[in-house]
Amino acid sequence: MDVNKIKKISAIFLLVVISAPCLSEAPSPIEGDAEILKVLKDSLAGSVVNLEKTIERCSKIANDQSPAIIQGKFDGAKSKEDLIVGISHFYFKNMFECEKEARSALAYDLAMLISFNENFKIPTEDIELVQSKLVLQPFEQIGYQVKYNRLDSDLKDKLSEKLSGEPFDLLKVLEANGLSGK
Amino acid sequence: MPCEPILSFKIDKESQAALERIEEKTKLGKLLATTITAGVFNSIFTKNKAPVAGWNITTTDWDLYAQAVNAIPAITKRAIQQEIDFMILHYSQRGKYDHNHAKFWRGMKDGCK
Repeated sequence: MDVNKIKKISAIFLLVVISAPCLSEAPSPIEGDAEILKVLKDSLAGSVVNLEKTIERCSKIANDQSPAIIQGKFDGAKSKEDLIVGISHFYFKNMFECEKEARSALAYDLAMLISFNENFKIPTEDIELVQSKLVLQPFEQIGYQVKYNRLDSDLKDKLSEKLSGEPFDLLKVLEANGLSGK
Repeated sequence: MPCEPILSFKIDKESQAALERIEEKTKLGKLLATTITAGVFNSIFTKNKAPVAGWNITTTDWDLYAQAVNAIPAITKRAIQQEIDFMILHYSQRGKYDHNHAKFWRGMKDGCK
């Protein structure tokens, strides 16, 4: 048997395990439960498509941003690091806000699937990993918010006035402010 | 603008750990796609182990990378981009700057478009 065949069989096996989570150790779901599972999966698929589209839309906004934002110069920062923190905070915040509704919907659908699966003692670790690593906001981004909160009020006001709102391109703004190199 | 080759690139621990996180997210993205659509998923992260010793990244490698990134679903791509952003910002910090690492992560960010 060649490697591709083995891979195909493995993939089908994985799909069967995920799609029909009611093997020997777990009690068999009744017919209604199978229908509920289908509804949950359909909803999940819709949320995935919606988030994919939202991410593409938000990325386009960042790429098409106005030159005024890209060329923004920010005086008053005590150090290069303060400026990087401020710009980074708004970069992550704006992108997250743009995608938040779609992410929340997908996180909810994944939570529903996890909750449903728990009734049948099906391993949900993988679904939880997808939720935490791909859908929820990374804690590193909150870290930038924490650092931003410590900045001087004057700098925060200037940054907020210029950067708060729509997603933007991080590298372009860093480069426009001479922050891309050493 | 094509990415410049990076010769004898010795990756540090922070970048190594970030590459491992990216690989994990790529696998999770694949799982998500398989669960729902059984969609096609292709990425150099699943083909290559992250290098430990010196690594020559050629223009061809960057081209292949750009092609692979285009095939990644948007949700996974965004999660990977976030990791890349963290590394770009890491190497922008005072005392952390390294030319090759900065070049590497900028290439990872946008495929040097």
